[in-house]
Amino acid sequence: MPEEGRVGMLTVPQPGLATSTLSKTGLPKTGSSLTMDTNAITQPNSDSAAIPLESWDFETAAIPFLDSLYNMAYRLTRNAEDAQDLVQETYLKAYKYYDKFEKGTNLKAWLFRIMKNTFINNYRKKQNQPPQSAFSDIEDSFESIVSEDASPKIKDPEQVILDDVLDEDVQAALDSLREDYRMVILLVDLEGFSYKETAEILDVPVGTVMSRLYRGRRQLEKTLLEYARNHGYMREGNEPSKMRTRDDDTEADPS
Amino acid sequence: MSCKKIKEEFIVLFGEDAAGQDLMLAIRRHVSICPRCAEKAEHTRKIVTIVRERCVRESAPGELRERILARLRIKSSS
Repeated sequence: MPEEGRVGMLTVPQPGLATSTLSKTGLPKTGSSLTMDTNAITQPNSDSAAIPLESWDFETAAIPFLDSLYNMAYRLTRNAEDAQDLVQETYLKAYKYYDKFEKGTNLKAWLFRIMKNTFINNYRKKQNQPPQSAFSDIEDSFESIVSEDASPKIKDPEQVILDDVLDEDVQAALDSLREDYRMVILLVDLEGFSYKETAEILDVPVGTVMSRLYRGRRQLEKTLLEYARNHGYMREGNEPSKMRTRDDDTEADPS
Repeated sequence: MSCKKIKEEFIVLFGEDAAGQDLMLAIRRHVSICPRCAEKAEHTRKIVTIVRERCVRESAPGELRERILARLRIKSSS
């Protein structure tokens, strides 16, 4: 991380920034300002005149998506440090190209798209992902997916078992998914993007989003059932040796 | 709406608002009379619900927020 990005630098106010503005907008003038007061920046007053309008614009519009972007970044990079760098880079790029953003369209989707591109260009190499996660992989036609799965493979008792899974299992199961499946599930199921928006974020056809979503959800279900069965196994007083451990996951993931 | 058509649409669409009102209505109508599709719908709904409700969301550290705002302002004032 470049030194200029450190919080400590802020103790020296930047030229053109009034000190009162710094504290008002949550920069670290006091210890209690860790969370930004968004109301403060949506109503700029005369103190803020030194900050260019575009900057207010961008901050006000884009900062509310910080948690969503960070969550996605964390799920992609699987570690806090890379996630923070990825999010910061996303914001800086977005700011740089903000004049290219079509006002009135979905800013959240635009930010996610920038983050996806940044991740692919700069971070994925570090993830040691197998080549299957390439976004250009051949997608099966929807027809073949549907017919291959003609009968439900999951029986009712196993559906009940799903209630047993722990929150951390849900996390581990998501993390274990192929990156392209994980992305669509996070975007659609967690962030609530439509298929069309997701397709635009990922630069793939809507049909690809749907097939990845379908396969991803199915894989997720399988993994969760596995975890749930392991818990059941534990509870019946058997040897815990079959229990998957979090350490195994960590070792397999060099990040 | 046919079973096959339903499979194409709702297996992935189920639970989404992406489908649009008419399609969702057609899907619901079919699911109400087709046990197999109903079961599939239930599976999908279960998984989606689990992801939505049980997935732990990571919040951005306060320090990151401050760092980003600082960098943005350095850029905007330069």
